[in-house]
Amino acid sequence: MKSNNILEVNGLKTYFFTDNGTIKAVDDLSFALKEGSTLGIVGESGSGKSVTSLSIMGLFRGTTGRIVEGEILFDGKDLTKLSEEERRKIRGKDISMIFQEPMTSLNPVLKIGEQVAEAIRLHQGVSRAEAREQTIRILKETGLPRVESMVNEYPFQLSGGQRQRVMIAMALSCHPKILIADEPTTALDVTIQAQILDLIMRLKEKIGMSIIFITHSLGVVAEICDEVIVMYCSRAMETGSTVDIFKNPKHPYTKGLMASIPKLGEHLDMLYTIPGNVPNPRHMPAGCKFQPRCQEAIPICSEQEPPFFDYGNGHTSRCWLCSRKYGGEL
Amino acid sequence: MLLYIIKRLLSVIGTMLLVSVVAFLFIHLIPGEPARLLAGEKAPQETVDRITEKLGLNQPLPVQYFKWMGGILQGDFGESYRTGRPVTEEIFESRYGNTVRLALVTLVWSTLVGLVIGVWAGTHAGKWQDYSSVTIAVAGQAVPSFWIGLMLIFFLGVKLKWLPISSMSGDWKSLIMPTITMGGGLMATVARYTRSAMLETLREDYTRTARAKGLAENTVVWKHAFRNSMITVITIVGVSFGDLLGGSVLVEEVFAYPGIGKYLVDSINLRDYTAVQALILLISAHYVIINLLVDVLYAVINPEIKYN
Repeated sequence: MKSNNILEVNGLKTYFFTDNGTIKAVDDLSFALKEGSTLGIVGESGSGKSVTSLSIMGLFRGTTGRIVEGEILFDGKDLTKLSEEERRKIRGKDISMIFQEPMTSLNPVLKIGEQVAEAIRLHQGVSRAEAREQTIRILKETGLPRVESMVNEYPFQLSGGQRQRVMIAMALSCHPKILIADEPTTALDVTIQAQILDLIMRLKEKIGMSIIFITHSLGVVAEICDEVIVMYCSRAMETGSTVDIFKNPKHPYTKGLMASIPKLGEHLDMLYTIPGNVPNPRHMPAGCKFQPRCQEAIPICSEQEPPFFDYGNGHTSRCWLCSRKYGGEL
Repeated sequence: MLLYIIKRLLSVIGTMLLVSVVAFLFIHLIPGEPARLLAGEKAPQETVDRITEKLGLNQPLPVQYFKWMGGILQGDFGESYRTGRPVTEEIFESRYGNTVRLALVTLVWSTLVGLVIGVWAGTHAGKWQDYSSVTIAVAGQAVPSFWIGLMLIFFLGVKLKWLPISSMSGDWKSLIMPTITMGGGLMATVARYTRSAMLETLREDYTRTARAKGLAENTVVWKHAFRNSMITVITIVGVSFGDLLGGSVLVEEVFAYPGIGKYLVDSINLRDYTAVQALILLISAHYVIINLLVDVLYAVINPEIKYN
């Protein structure tokens, strides 16, 4: 493990065991999160991005999901080997998470202040009064107005953007080393989205944490991420620095995603879309999982799943077209 | 909050007035002349006339109603045709206390046990704890209470002689079998509703948030999921408490338990209309007041109601 990687995921396989068969939600995923950096995980719904974050958090209670293989190294410890008790001490303290749905992610019957203070008391063992003080301080940091009265209010009295700020305060209250943000701006208005992104990045600098940012928006990635993983069908398709991925995308899927972004000043009747749908996880195609939708597919694509082709500097692509044998550079 | 309670109290008064009209008309809705029914089919006409005169049944209906209501507002529900004693005495001397005691004990044990079983099943969804709890709950709802009562009397009372078979004595031992009989169904209902409510709240996003904070599972279950589950369970418990306070005719009959359920049936059989009217009012009042309490409790649990 290189010393500047705060988190390393190696060969992670997370499966869900349902009555109708096994769903491989994450299949052989590896990546590293450098200390102080922001890693974006991009992909369509059902590509396994959220399950990746749940795997790191260990939040599978009440589901049929479980990590079947691989390791998640944090601080030199393999999280997958820890007991539930030990994981709980990390959860919310060293690694915390904010979710997509601010409207439903706060408990409707508990006061805002209590929901934030709860984590502070748990992980820092401070008194109620001290926890309250810290709660007010962190809520103020997030730019919320009239915090002193808001701590005694309930979630339904707040707007979506305000609730997401509360969620952020809650997640950052114990100064985590890693923040996992699972589409934290998807459910918000565009203007609020930008504010929330700004807030997250500002607090990142202040606390000195690393971020895993899960999103389906390449625009958000371009704005805040240092590195990117493009996921499709439970796998990474392409990884690399944000600059490499945007300047020089290698995988047809990544290129397709790029082409689907509307460009400023361009007038189009119809936006580009990648044809077809994400395959049913129960009936995965043989070979490359993207091949049925890929316009550049060649015969080998439906026969054999491509390996990663490494362009150096962490830029890898899982596509046969990268191979010199099929006209690529490697 | 206060305004909310006052508003609800006003609607309670309206409801009770309506109920009083129905309870009053009840005696006149029964086919045949009430006085004739009271006197008996073969009684001479003079007796019937005397009764009509005495009860004021020959006056116009509104007059009768206001006389009756006037008495009720002063705490006078009339006299029992059967014993000649004030109905309030008949009801409140001991019968009502007996029913309330039975209802309270039943409510407390069956709700507590139902909640524990429901949470236990809900937190172990799909495992043996869940299946065994559901089996108990279905059995509790499916088996008629009088049968449970008879079985209890047969085994605990007659065979083993551990408990008195009749509840006339009124001590705590005599309460055991009637409360078990009465509460079985409620316990099962509470368990089922709690289970499904827990299954739902444990899947909610805020439960995931609570877990993501690193909270112990016990805190997640009781502080975050359970409180939200109570919003549905409270309604069931409230309505059931109304049923219990009405006195269970079957249970009171089987155990010879002197409560208002048994009194109501006796009064109907003997055409003691003043008693029946008073009981209708009393039992309706229970429901209305309990509904009010449930609404207030909602507001306590669910802040969204409290502030709107």
